Amino acid sequence: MYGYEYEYDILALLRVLKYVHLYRADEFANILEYYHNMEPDEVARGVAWDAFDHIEGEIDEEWGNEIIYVYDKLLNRYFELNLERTQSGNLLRWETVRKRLLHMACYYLLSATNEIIDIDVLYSVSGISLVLTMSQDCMEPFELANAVVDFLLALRQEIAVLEARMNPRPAEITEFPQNTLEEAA
Amino acid sequence: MIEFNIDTFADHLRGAPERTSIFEQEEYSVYLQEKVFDPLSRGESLDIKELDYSAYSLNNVTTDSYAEGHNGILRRWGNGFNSFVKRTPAVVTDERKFF
Repeated sequence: MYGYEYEYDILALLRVLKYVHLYRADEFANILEYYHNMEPDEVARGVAWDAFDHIEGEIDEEWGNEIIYVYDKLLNRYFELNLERTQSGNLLRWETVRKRLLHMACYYLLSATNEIIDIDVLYSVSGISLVLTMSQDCMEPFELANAVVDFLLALRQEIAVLEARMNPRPAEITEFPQNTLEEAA
Repeated sequence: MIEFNIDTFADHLRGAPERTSIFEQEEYSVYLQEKVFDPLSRGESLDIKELDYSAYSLNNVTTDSYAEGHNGILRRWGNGFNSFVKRTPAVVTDERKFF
């Protein structure tokens, strides 16, 4: 589209930065400040780690794989809406919603990049997190960062659909017919 | 005992809201051409701090290959699901309504 040899990589980087600029404004300034002198792939990887991972330096004790904990308010909102919709907060419902979220994450993340080798959904006091276990043999920074962006965009869309279903637009209030008022009088 | 009702199932299918793709149609941006790709083609480096992030939108940086890639994933998931269903023994259902 722009006639540059490494266009895909640059576009992928700009896409992630645009998403962070739109929806993660708090982290955006720090990311620009910290990564502005680095190569595009380092920036993409850094953004994936800094903008979406909320526990730094976590490593799987058994195999030594790095772990990213993706935390976003959207994850909590998705859970809230689903639980509200089913009108039950019991453990079975939680597990159903967790599985639903897990399938969505598998579709958008596990299928899109080879760098992620395992996905789980974690409940904690601070909220819902997506636990991504990273491969030690594969590095796809652009695909990884964009897969997270795709997942969050899809989640955003899913939440909008759920909200529309739960709060249908109220019927427009039309003026009471004048002749009916006269009849009533 | 829970019983499958094909009419209810069909009603739910008909009532499902239309899904739109998360990927918008790709769109060329003059700003990106002038501020990003022309300097890169001249051998200059990209400084992400210098860019105006309000000057372009997500569809300027999302190529059609994203949607194509996801169609491929959808196809593979469909194939996997079909394969799983084919391996399900027919004796688990009393009637062969679907397959």
